[in-house]
Amino acid sequence: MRKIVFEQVGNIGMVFLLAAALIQTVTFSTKSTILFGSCWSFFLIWTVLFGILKWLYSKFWKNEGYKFSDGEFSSKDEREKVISSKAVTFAYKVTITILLVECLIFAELDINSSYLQIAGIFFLSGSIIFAFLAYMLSWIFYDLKI
Amino acid sequence: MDIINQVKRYRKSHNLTQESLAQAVGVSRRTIISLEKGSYTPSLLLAFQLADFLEIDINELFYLDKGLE
Repeated sequence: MRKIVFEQVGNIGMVFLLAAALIQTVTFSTKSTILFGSCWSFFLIWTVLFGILKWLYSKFWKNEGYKFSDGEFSSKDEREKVISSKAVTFAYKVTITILLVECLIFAELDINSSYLQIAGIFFLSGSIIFAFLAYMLSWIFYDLKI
Repeated sequence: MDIINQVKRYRKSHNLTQESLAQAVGVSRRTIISLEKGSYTPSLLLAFQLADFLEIDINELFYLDKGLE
């Protein structure tokens, strides 16, 4: 369970910082210049740090079955593979539902073009974060249930 | 229709701990706990590995619960 929480917290942090960096760039860039603000630095630092932590986790906690390349799909045995499969199914359903709701909300929004990019980044990154959360919470639920 | 297993019974008759049985068949202790509780149905491979390690016929270790039919 710990490896899934570790992986998903890292992933959520990465997507959150990427969204913040993109919004910052979209907000402060002009037609002639593209600005890369401080959020890009935080995003890059987080990504490198998370990568190092993932590598250390896979090296020093081998008994948990965490693999660097598999990430949140790492499994120690067949039971955890079943849990991952169930969690993916649940996360898929949640993500599709959220995207459908977002389509409806987006269609109803009265926004001008300058805010359209920001709204797009906000909705899409929010969907990814919800997908990560749905996977993590359902993984924990099935781990306790099975 | 559920699958009944006698893993706990045969593990105890072999004086094995959940941890040692788990290590012998290459799964986690949680998997053995789930198996014994009946909340997890093992793959065919794991079922055969357990039967082989416990030296018991697989049909005695796992069988269908036909009681409610």
